[in-house]
Parts: sequence; structure tokens; C-alpha cells
Amino acid sequence: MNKTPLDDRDEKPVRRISATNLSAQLRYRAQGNPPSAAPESAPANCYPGLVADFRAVWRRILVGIVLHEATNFVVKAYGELAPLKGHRLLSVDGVPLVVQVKGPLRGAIDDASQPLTDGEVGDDLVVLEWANALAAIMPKAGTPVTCLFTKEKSDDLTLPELTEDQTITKQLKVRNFFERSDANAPIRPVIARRLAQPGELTQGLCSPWQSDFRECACYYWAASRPDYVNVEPDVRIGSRGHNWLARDRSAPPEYVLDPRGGEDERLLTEVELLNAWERVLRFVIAGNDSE
Amino acid sequence: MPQITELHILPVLAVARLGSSPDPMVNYDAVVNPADPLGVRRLVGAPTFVVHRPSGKIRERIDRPDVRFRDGRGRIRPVAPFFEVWARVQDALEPLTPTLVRESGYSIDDLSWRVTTANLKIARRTGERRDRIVAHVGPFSDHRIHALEGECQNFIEGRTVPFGHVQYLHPTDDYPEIRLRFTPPKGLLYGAQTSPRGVKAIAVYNRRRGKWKGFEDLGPPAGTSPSDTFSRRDVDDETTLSVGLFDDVSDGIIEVTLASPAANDLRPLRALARVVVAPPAFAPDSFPVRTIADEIEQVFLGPDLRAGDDGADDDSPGIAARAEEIVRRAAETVRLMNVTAMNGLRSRDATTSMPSHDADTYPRRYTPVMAPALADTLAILALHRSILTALKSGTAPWFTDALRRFDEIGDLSDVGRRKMPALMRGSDGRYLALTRRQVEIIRAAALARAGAAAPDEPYKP
Repeated sequence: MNKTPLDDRDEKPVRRISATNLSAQLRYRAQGNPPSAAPESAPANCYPGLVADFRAVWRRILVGIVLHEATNFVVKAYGELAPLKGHRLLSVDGVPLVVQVKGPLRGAIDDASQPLTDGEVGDDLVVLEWANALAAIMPKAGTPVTCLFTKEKSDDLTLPELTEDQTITKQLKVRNFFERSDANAPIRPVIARRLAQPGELTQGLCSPWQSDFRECACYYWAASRPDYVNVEPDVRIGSRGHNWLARDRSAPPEYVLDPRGGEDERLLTEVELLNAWERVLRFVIAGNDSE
Repeated sequence: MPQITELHILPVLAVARLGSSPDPMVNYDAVVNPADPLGVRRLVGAPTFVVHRPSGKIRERIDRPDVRFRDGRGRIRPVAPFFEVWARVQDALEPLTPTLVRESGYSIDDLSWRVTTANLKIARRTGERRDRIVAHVGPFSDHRIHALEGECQNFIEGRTVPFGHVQYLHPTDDYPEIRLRFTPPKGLLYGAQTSPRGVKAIAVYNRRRGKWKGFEDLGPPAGTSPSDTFSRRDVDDETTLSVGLFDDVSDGIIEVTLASPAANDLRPLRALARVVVAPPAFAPDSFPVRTIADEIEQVFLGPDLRAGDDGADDDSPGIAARAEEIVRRAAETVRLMNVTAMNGLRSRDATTSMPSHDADTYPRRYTPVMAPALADTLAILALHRSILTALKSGTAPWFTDALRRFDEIGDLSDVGRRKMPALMRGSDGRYLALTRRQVEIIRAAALARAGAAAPDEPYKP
């Protein structure tokens, strides 16, 4: 059998971990904790999510400003940086935070990839995820990095390729991502208290969470919220299976599509999930309905 | 006398999962069959502690419990994680026990806990501090159950929302480690004095004090993204308003302190860990492809691989095992996802799909991502098996070019959308990119198996 971090079979309890082995500390599974308690069970691509909105940990990564969890909008700014509130952060240490969205335009006669804009400022742009965009600057924690902002407050996205008179350059210190017992102690893989106060890791999630299970219609969090269950091969269409939210799954598998902007009476409703989620949602083991 | 230089709480972050059963979920392992590495993981009961709640002592250890997610009455068993205190002595961490506490010059009475959890979902949207729901207990050193009662200034007088409870377990000779257990709440629904028709919510929110019921989303640039992520009703074509509902999930900080008031030469020691309360994992033998652990690890290890990252210097999994785990998790998502639907059906309005997301957000032409004849769950699952086989056999150096780079998320061309992971979104709302480090792990595995030298220089796209 292969060993994975989620499989501690026949292991004696760990009695010693190197103080410098942060991966071992991060992935340590306390005695008695099932794998569903581990951070490996929590998707990072929550939108708007199930376990945590992990975008929120990056909001205070630059000392003196607070960023929006999803975009480069400066929500708050302090001290001499206070005037930056409402501006856009365009790049950090030379890393651009915004990219253009391109593809074949609706109605175009060819497949050429071009900016996907309706003509409104910034509507063909997207902000990169903080975790990947800022990964390379994290070793610079505690030191200042060059940050480029729009010169004016801006509700719209813009690319970093602006002229010098359209931007403001500031040196901002990168905040420590992790806790340490004192300034000289080695880091430990605990998200620093100053990065996220209690409640901030979940504040962006749907309220209540049951509404997201029904409404989002996004199925790539399958570990938490399966979509396609009781799947069987089908020579004609490849496979067939039930929609996890189908009320009746006793009949042979026939997937009930979740209609956009409407309801299908064969699927559980939001009210049913709100009132009785614990009874109507079923665990799925080996791809099939279980408990 | 051993000198404790630091305290740690492990795990550093744990997920507690809702359930109304008084019996917590047992422990289990998710076992991979090497003969079928992309098959389903088998859930096998693992050592489980049974806690005697009045005393806080571990009463017994069941080595092979039945893995059941509901109790005899059909209630879901909550996942109630343990948090252990570890002490750094010289260069290593070891479990803290009353014996180690004493030998280090402290008294066990010097140890105390504090726990703060909060639900800020309403406050995040309204911007009102008075909408913050916060629970706090401690400092405490006893072994009683401490309830976390969420209080909010905009609640009806005297009402609270239970956020679960914590208990500092009583160390015993058999189980001497110092640990705390966090038990989440039941997963109840809360609201204002009146709820929408047919919805059974517990009335705690004072709609005359707060504006959550009837709240209209702020929208960009300061509102949440995506917007309108709450239970709501349509007033007209333009306006939707919150119906005032909320839940009992939260996240928070668990702190432990070891501070001797008597011995001035012993400095106070502190540690903290994070807890997040979430719904159950309804497919517990499956795991997401990009996780919070992957993101945290990327912060301290960096996006690139370096010498020693192959696991040879310690007992961590090697590059090949980690690459296999990433492919396995991708397959586990695919297995439970209707690929045909997510790929985009002939009609854009038939259901929500990745192409409909694209065409709703941007003026992109609505077309399926892959040729519909190829887009079937079992067919794509088979493709993952081929990829894993190719990775293992060294015939897949091309595969890294098929992975989406983090800065390619704006590429909605046909080729760009087919990169992997396909048909999943990242938290930016566009097609998912793995962490840069995950991409590096797969690349290193592919190159190493292909007979190429391990990369001396970090890969630079």
C-alpha cells in the first residue's frame, strides 16, 4: 500500500519533529483526528467556498494597507499611506497583479484571441490570485518592496503598463506570514495573528453556507460537495449517474440538469437544504450513495 | 533539567465539521491501493479516543472503529479535532506532558488556554462592527467543557449563537499528552424575528438594530467578490435583498500559555493554532486538488523546488509520490463531477458550466471547452490514469506544458481553456491554476522519470 499524508495506518504516534521541518509540522495529524480535519481536506480555490476563503489571509500582507480579498483595491490605508485608500495596487516588487483576458469574441468571424471587452474600462482584466502572484516575494518578509499604485482612486481595473505620471510608487514592508515566538526565533507554520483576526478566514463565505450548496452550481469542490454520483458506464454516452441533489435516487441513474435561473422539482430546493440539510444530504463513498 | 524554548500547538490549523450527533466522528485512514493508484481510497478505522466528558479524561482507545458518519438516529457525527501542545527542547519538538512541564521548572497549574472564534459574514457585507458575532473563553486551566457562545451587539437581548465548545483534556498516565478538543456546533440556521415563508430559522437577530435583513449587496469595488453570496429574495429585475439568514460556522484562534508567576527566570511561553468550522466533507474518500495546506507550504518553501526537496533528507514523501498525489486528487474531483455538463452543452441556458461562466462574465463566444464526444466523466478519468502511467514511466515530459501557469488564467482561447486542471475555477473566478510549487513538483517528476537530470535551477516560465 502507498502511504499518503492522509493515511497513517500502523504508524506509532510521532514523538519527535524537527524544529526546522515546517512541512512535517504543517502536515502533522494529531492522534485521533480523521483526515477530514486536516488542512489537506480544505480547498484553497474557494469561490465563495466551503471551508475558508483563503484569499483573506493576504489582505494585510503589506504593512500599512489592507487589500480587498479578491482584487487589488485598497480597502484601508494607515498613517502616511492613508491617501492610498481607494487606489489600485498594480504590481509588487515588479510582479504584475493584473492580466488581460483574451479569447474569441462573441460574433467575431474568426477564432482569433483578442481582448474580451464590452468597451467598458477594465472589463477585460482579471486580478491574479494572491497566493501565486505573491509567492516569490514571501522570502522578503520584514523588508520593503516596491509597490506600484494607480495615481488616482479607481473603481476599475487597469493594467500596470501605465506611464510614470499615472502611478504612485511606494516602498511597503512585507508582513511576516507566520507566527514566531519572538523576533529572533524561527518561524512556525501558523498563520500570523496580525494577518487574519478570528472570523476573517470565513467572512467571505456564503451566508448561510447551505445557500451556496444549492445556488453556486459549481462542481469542482467534489470532495465536500459532490455532483455526479452512482455513475455507471454507458456505451452510448460514456456514463450516466445521478445529480447529488436529486431528490429521488432510487431510479436508474439519469442526471437531472440544474437549470440556469430556474428550478427543477426533481432537485432539492434551497429551503429544503436550509431546513433539513443534515437529513437530505447524503455521504458518498466510492462514488456511490452511502449514509 | 530540560529547557523548553518554545511551545507549539499541532496541528497548526484544523477543520472542525458540523454535525448534531453528540458522538464525534471516529478516526480513520484514507488508504490508497497501489495496484490502482487512481481508484477510490478505502476508509479504514484508525485509533480513536473516547473522552469521558465530565472528567475530561480519555476513557479508552478504540483501534479499529467502524467508520460511520451518522449515529444510530441518523444524525451526522461532528468532526471534533484535537489540538496537542508540543514543546521545543533543543532542536526538536516533543509532546508536552505534565512530567516535562515539571522537569522544566514550571507547574502544570501554570498552563492555560484561551479560545476566540467569530462569524463575521454579516459584518463583512454590511461593514458594521455591531454585526460581528464573537465568542471567547478563557483563560482557563480546568478540564470542564467551555461553551463558545457567539455574542453580537445587533442580537435580540440575551440571545447568542452556540459556536461549539472546547475542553482541555485531563492528562492521565495512559494518555499524558496535553491536548484540547474543539467540538463544533450542530449546523443550525439563524435569522431575524421573522423568516422567509417556509424557512425554520432560530430568531436571534434584531432587525430593528441591524440592517442584515433587507440588506442590498454593496457591489464592487468594496463588496465581496462574487457579490450576493447570501440567501436573498428578488425585489425586481435589478434588486435582490438579504432575507437575514446566517449560520453557526466560524473560525478562530486557540492559544496556550505556560507562564510561571513564581519563577522569574522562566519566561512565559505561548503558542497559537487556527481552527475553521465547516460543513461535513460529504465525499470523505476524496480530497481537493489544490488545498490550503498546499498554499501555506508554498509560502514557507517557496514556489520553486530546491536541493533536498526530493524527500531524501527526511521521511517526507518524495517528488514522485507528491506528483502522484496531485494527479490522484484531480481525478477524485473529476470522478464526482459531471464533466459533460461542466464542459458546456449545446444550449448555453441548459445548465451552469465553465463556458457559460466565460460567456456571462466576458463577451466570449459560447463554445464547449473540449469536443463534446471526449467530455465524459469516465473518459476523463481514464485520461488521468494514462497521465499517471506516463508520469511514472517517463513518457510525459510534455505534460508540464499542458498545465496552466498561474499567469495564464486570462487565456480563454480554446487552447488556454483546455489546459489542466480543466473545468475547475480558481478563487479568482477564472480557470484553476495549481500552486506554482505543485506545477514544479509535477514537472520535476516528469523530467526525472524521463531520465533528465533533476533541475539545478528553478524553472522560470
